[in-house]
Amino acid sequence: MLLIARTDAESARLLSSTVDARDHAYIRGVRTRLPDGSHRLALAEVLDRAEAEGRSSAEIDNLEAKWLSEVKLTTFDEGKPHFGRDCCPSS
Amino acid sequence: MKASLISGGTVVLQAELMNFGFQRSSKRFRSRVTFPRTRRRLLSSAIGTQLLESQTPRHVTWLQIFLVLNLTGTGIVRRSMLLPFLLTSNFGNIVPRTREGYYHTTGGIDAAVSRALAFAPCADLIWLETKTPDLKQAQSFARRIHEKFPGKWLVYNLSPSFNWSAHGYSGMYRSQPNLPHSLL
Repeated sequence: MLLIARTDAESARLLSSTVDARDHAYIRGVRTRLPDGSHRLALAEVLDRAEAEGRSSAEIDNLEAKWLSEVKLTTFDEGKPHFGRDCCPSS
Repeated sequence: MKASLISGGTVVLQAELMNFGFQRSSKRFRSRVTFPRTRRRLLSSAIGTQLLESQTPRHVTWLQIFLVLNLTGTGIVRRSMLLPFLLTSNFGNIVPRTREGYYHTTGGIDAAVSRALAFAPCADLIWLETKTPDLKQAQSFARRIHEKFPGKWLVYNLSPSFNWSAHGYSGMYRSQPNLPHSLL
C-alpha cells in the first residue's frame, strides 16, 4: 500500500476553512473599513439582503461582481502597510 | 449572528486576528461567548463604549487594553505582541467570504509546495497537481521538495486531462518522453 498526498493548491482560489495556520499566508482578505470609517458590509450579507428583497438571480450575480470589483483582495502580508485605520483609503 | 459579527467593532478585529495565529491560544479560552454578548459586556462599561465607538486609537489606555485582553481570556503575551495591529487594523478575511462560506486564497505554487512539504513526512508519494504541463515549473517545485526531503517520490500528472499538444508536446505517449525521469 502506498499513501499519496495530492494537492490542488496550485490552482485553488477558495478554501473551506482557516483552521490550518499553514494556510494563513495564502488567505486573502480586504479592508474592513470604508473611507468614512464605517464597516464594510460583508459580501454574503449584501447578497442575503438582496435575496430577501426578492432580487433576481441575475441582479444578485451583478451585485457579487460589483462587490468584488470594489475591493482589493490581498493576503495579510501583501496589504499590511495599508491596513492601519489611519491609512484608510480616502480615494 | 452573522450580521452582528460583521457590523461589530474591536471584537471583530479579534475574531479576525484569531485567524492569523491564535488557534493554539483558543484552547485557553476561559469563556466562550457569542459576539452580541461580548459586545454587550464591552458596552456595559464606559471604557468599553469609548473603545468601541472611538474612531482613533488615541483614547486607548493600558487599562482599556487590559480590559480587552481580559474579556477574551486568550494568551495575553502573544496577543499583546499584536496589539498595535489589533487596535488599528482594518483587515479581514471573513468579510469577503463567498455565500457558501469559503475563504479566498491566492493558490499558486508556493501554497502548493508548502502543502507538499507539510504532508511529505507522512506520505509515500507527493502529487502536486498543476494547471498545465510545464517542465520548468515541475523541475522547480520538485527541487524545492527534494531540498527538504531528498529522494522523495513524486507524482506528476501525465494524463489526458492535460492538453499536451496545446503546450508544445507532440507524440507524448508514443515517444516515451523523459519528462518523468527529469523529475527524479
